[in-house]
Amino acid sequence: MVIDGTDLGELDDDGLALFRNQTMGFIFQSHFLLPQFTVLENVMIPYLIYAGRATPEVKKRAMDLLDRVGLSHRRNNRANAISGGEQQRAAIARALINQPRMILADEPTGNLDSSNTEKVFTMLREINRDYKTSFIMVTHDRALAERTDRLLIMSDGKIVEDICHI
Amino acid sequence: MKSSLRFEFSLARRFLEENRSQTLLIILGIAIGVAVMVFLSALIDGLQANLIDKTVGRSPHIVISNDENAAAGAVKSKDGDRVLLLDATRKTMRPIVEWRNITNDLAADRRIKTVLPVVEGSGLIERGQVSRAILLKGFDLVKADQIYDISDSFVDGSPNIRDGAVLIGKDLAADLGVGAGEPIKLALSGRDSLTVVVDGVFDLGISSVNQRWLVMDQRRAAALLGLGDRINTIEMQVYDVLSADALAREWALRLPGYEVVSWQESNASLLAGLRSQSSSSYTIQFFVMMAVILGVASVLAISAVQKSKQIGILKAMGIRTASVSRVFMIQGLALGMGGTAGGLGLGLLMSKAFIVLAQQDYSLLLRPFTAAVIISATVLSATLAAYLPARQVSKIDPIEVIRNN
Repeated sequence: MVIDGTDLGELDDDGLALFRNQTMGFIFQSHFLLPQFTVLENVMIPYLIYAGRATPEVKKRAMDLLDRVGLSHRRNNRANAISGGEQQRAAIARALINQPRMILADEPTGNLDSSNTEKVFTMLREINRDYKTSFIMVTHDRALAERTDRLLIMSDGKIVEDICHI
Repeated sequence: MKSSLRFEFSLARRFLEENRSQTLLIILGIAIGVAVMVFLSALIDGLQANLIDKTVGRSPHIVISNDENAAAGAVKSKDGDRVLLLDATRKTMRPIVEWRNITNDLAADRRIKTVLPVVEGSGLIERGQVSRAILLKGFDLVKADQIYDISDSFVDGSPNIRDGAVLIGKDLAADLGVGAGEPIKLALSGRDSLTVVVDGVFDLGISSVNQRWLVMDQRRAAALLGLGDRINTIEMQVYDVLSADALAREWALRLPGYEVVSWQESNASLLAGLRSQSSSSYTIQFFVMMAVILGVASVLAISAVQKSKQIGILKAMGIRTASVSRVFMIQGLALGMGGTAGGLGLGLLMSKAFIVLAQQDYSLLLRPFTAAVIISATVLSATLAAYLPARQVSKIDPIEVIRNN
């Protein structure tokens, strides 16, 4: 598989790790924030893994992202001290900190109520538009799926339909 | 610091802080283990140092005499200048003819603290109906004080050897019923008995010495034993008591024909006792160390299971496998260091309490080397104990964690 000019088959474990860190972002059904860190620290973790210390520039980017997902006021809270919807939005900010080309989102709204689902999806759409980040999203929410650019319907592990919305 | 290492340290710290009670418990566990090792080492080393000091503190560490098994008559040593002669009186050890050269050579050896030329022989003393076998020791009293400290051990009389006067041990004086200033009859083999005056009575705290020793001036003893101006024994104390054995072997090679005996040779059973005491202490310490290792390994293994989801997510975000392992090794290192620091303090406290409570007449001895071994072994063991949990977490597949949510 070749992504953004890199043949993943040729990368070793460390190479794949670095690729995941630099080129891809992940958003999961469950937020998976690290409860030992604050919201702001969680957002910066993908950067800290390799750099160790946040530069003022990265800190500013993290603050901007938190602002964008509406969590600036929660930045110094522990990750497990905020609500489920807030945690998922923090996870989105985290996925964006290294400015990845592509984000894999696995049921990003699966654990959210309809109002939070709307907020999160709108946010993903804006990021897609502003940062030119591609999203590959898995969802069981047909209504949400209809609002994507391209819809691939899978059944028993096989693609059964490919619908383009643009 | 390598930049990714900085994140590993911060992650390890957060993990340890998160389970604060678990972390404190294992540090306490390590501390108790280290305290036991410190206390046991200090106790055994203190006890042994005391025993050795009691055994050899006021006695020679190495004794050189003319080898009784050497061929009779004149024997030339390998360098040809030392001539060993058969002694005229069979009960007296043969003289060391070149004793002045030998004692000069010995005194030049920096490892040797004191060199004492001694005239030694056996005899009998009588007073009234009572007679006792004695060991006649002739030496310079001032020099001998460096080994025996006789001058400070007088219970009766004065520490001077006047012409014709002798010093005897406390028990011998009691057996004969004599005190300072009283005469006794001294019989040496091959001579008529003569009358000597007891000038002082000493107590060296060793019953064999107090019962048998009769001390006089070296020249007079040599004359009485028919040695002329020669001596027949050289006694020594060395700086490093435990190396006396090796030093004795070395000098035995340099002085062929002479018998060079270290205190270790004449106290083999004491040494065997000390050795088995040490090995039982090492055995206990080994098992304590095993308990520490298992404690650290089990706590980190539990932590690894608790954190597997977080490790999986970190891996999805691109943390390297080796980094994850290091996070756990760092936790082991930190637990080891914290536990060792606490354990050292606790161990020293236990030692102090023991001295006060048990009221022993010896002090505990924690050698810097022993402390260094305990510290490094514990910190290293705790770090290595983290190896298995570290391997366990490094195998976590991010896909598995994500799939099982």
